[in-house]
Amino acid sequence: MNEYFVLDKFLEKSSFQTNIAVHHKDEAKEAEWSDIPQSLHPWVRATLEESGFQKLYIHQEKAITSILKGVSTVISTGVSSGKSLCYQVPIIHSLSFNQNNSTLCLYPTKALAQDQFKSFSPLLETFSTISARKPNLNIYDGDTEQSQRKAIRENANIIISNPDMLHVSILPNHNSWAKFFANLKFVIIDEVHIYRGIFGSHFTNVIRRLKRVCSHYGSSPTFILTSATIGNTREFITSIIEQLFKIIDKDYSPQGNRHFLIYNPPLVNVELGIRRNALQETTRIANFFNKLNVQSLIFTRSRRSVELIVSNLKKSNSRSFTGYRSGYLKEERREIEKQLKDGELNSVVSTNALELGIDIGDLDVVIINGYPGTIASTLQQAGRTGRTGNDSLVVMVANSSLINQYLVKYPEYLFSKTPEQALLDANNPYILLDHLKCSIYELPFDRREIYYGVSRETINELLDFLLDKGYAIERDSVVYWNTASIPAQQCSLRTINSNSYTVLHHGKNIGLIDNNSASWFAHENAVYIHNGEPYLVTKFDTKLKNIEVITHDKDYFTEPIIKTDYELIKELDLLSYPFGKAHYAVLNVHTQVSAFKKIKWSSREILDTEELDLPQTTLPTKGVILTLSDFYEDFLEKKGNSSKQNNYGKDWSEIKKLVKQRDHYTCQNCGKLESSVSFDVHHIKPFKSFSNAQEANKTENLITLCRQCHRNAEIPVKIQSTMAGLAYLIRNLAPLYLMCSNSDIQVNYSDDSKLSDGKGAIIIYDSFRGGIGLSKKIFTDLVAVLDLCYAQVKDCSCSDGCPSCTGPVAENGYGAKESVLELLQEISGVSNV
Amino acid sequence: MSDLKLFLDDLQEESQKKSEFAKPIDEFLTGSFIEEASLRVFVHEKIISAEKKINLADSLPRIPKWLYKYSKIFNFASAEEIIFLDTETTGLDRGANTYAFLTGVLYFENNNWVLKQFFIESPENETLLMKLLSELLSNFKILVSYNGKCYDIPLLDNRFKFHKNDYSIRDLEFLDLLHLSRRFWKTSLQGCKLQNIETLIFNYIRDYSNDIPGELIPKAYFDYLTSRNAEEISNVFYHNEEDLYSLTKILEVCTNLDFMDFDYLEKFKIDNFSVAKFLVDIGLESSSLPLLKELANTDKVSENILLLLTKLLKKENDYLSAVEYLKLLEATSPLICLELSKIYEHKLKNLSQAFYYARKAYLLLHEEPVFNNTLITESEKRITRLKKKLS
Repeated sequence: MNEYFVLDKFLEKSSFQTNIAVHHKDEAKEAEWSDIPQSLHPWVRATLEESGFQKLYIHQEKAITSILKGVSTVISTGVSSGKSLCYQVPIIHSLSFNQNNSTLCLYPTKALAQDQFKSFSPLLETFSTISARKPNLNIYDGDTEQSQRKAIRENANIIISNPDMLHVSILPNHNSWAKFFANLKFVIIDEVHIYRGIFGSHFTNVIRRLKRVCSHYGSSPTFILTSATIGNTREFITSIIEQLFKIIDKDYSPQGNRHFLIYNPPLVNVELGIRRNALQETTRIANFFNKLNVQSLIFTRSRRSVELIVSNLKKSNSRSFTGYRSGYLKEERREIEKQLKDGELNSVVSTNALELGIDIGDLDVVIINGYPGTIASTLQQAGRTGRTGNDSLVVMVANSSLINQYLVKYPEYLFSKTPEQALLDANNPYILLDHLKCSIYELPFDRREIYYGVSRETINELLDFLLDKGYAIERDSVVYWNTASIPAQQCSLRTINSNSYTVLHHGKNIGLIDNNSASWFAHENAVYIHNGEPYLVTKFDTKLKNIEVITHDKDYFTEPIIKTDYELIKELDLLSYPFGKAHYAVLNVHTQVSAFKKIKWSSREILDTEELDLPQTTLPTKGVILTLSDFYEDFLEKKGNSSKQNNYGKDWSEIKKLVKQRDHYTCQNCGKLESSVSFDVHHIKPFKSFSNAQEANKTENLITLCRQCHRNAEIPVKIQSTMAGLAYLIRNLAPLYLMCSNSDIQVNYSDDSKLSDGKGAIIIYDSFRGGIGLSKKIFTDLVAVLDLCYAQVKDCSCSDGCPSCTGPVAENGYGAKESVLELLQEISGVSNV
Repeated sequence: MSDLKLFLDDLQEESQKKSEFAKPIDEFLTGSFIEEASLRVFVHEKIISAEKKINLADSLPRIPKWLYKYSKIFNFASAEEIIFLDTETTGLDRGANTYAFLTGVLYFENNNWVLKQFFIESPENETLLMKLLSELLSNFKILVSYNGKCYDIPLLDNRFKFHKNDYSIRDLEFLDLLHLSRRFWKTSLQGCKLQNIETLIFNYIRDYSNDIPGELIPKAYFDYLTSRNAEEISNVFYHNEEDLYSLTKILEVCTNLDFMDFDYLEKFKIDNFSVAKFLVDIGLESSSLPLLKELANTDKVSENILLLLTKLLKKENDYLSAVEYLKLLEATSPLICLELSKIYEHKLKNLSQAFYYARKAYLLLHEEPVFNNTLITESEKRITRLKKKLS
């Protein structure tokens, strides 16, 4: 299909065309070719020719040549640029010389492993026919039958596995893999950018252990990595493999014109700045392409929104479409991937589950419902279209959140800024200690050993600790594991709990929900939507881990109301500063689904709210609570930027009554009549922007709105408080400082916190049970962190706040940049004294 | 204090208590140290006294022919070619930190049974232990063990490789007595744990004050490595020695086994039917048949015995005998009745008898405490079909 056709058709429709806020185009370029290297074994060259490769892209040739020289190599070219071939060729090349040679391929998910197995098999078969060698290609993961494992271990040439399996099964049992390790030539790490943050810190330590085991067997494999575009490839890969390597990142594969549109839903109430719902606009666009028979992939951020869009598509009579998200059965997902690839599906609505490199063929259009949160992720999702050098179209539908509206205004943020950095701290003491235990278990640890990027002092200190606590014994400077426990079994690489609930419809398993989200996704009386089909949850069985559902035929869906509570368990430390206090404490973070709303499909009207009595889930962790001293609270208040609740003046209730009367008790946006739930009176120009209440409360500045519309109207005029701005800043910078990923640490601002006697507080805590030292470091290094914040705001070129500093600013709102800057200036002035 | 030190203190883990009484192994057991380079292995060695009564050397030459059928290694077995082996390890899994810290062997030399136990006082000495073991094992042809095929042998094989020792343990012939024991005692014992056989079959009671339960052995060794007090380890030596004796006894029972000697079977609680079935499985139907016939005429007769006997008789087309034997239990067993019905219908072509037994089976099935739907349906079908044929 001709992409210009797709784009033209889209632009032809004026109801789309007028809302296109941004049209960004990357020009097409031709492929640049290279001959198949003569240095390759004749069997390999024959295999390539037989498989239809007359030439290679230049980057493929460069990667292969580098790998053949034994240089570890990172391939960081675009989606669909033939990265897999860069390692498949060296593998068969090495097998041509010695059929015992082995390779370990690590993929972050089992699905990706399956996919790669399928894509490698045909090439390997061709090679077998030509060379008369029969290399064994096997998947070895949690799903591999016990009865097959022994044979695989003993005969494997190419093992496809995942980091968790390597960690918990292969390395601790390396003795059963002796032949495999002794012959190990290559380690492939696919999608290496996934291994960032705490997960990455674990992963690096697994790689350290892998290398250590290899050197015991006398092998030193070449590492071949593939990566999406990230902001700091060299630094990141160095921290992952801790050795020299070459980067291949110039992409010579062909590319069509790439059109990236940002679509901003039209204003439905100009005065109040309320826009049409992004999800519904996404559906409208998806439906449009669906009816054109154009294959599109629709990315959206949550599992819930996947289902809402699928349901909407169903209602608008789209053809051959489906949802795709975690929680669908494995077979169901494989089937969708296959149908997508075979062109049998027109539209697939997915979470970022389809962002990773599973081969789903060439798509015509990618629609993104709301900014995915990172530039890297946006590029990955956009890369799913135009895979073989054809022109491509991406439509990102902006929602009403500040960050989305910011991108509409400043699209260069998306197109010219380098993607986010991937960071990790391999020497996080918690993680290092856990993996050192595993290392000792795997092979006795010689004190004279060099343990990669860890200093000898650190290693000695940790070893002494393990000796003292009875985990190990030492003989002649060699440390031996000395308990019957297997340390790898007590350390999980991921925080995700793999346990899940089964969704049963008349006894038939229709889906899975992970433990953590089951209670808010499928509590009793919730409407659980699976591939657009609504079901009503009749039973939530925590013992059997079953969720029973029946078909739901009413015209509403449900949305949970989630309450988060912090509970201080024990204060561990307290530091007082002139500007305020920092507490370091053991915290319990409780989340609870306290109620749910029933929302009408067609109008999105809230029909009812029902209380729920569900057990709360608790994350026991450690965290920092930051509060300001009274002096600084006053300082902010004088600046008119405190976080305190507005005081609307003593006449407010009287004024409110008058305005409602004037507006005939009708919501001035949607026209709904006030009933049991009382309506709000809204300040068109924000209250905080006036110097006194009288001015602000003039009736021409007031309007009656229902609660839903009031919320919508507040977004574009939002005034960010200083503390909220500071929290935003810390949230942005903490991962950089700690070298973790955004989800590893939580930074929240609460203007009325139990933890701080009702004062505003910034609460920072680790996302890991028991804490993993991240917030601890913020606590001890608070001044340095605040200095970093100061530098960031000071040097930021924006005027009133942006996503890189104190947060994006509402269209007609006010940012907190200036007041945060002043506060930090005061603070750092004090701290520098 | 360094950050790391603070972090480690924060974990609030208890320090291991240091034992003040290091007691080396030679305070508990006689033995000698074999030293090489800076390594050493403790060897406890003794000639087994007469009261332990290991009679294998005498009984081995009389190995019954059926054992040849079971394993070809019995063809050339003389006592001198056999070594019994049992390891005590640091774990039950096959992980990288599982190694044998104590390996006991028993063999026949100069008309005596000799026990040798090799023990390492710390893990670095394992490489010497493996060397001594490889030198010793290469003098033998057959390694006898209990569950060795699945456990001890792969483990040792692995450890030889780990220490880059070229010796190939796989070149030995293996006799795994667990497999043989299951044949004889699976039905009469709850699982074939070696100690069950020891107490329930041989009526032998260990000196429990000197013994240690198998599952506690890894921990005992780890504790010893930190405390250096070998008191508990001496119990592991005892445990290992007793296990080795039990192995010799099992083999002895097997070599003396005459399956027609019911008293002998009775004495060692060997289930007759299991023996008969074993004989069939190893291809000795001709030996099994007289045994089964004999059993059928005793009070040991059972459904299983008759059905297996019938199977063998059918092969010889001796349907009349089969029917005679089956009738022994026709009063109580629906399965036997069904079998009778089949033979009458298809072989002896006596439809009314076939019908009679199908009905009888049907009625008996309804008296069974557990309702067997499959069999009831089967007998119903049979009855309907026979009715049709008869009319």
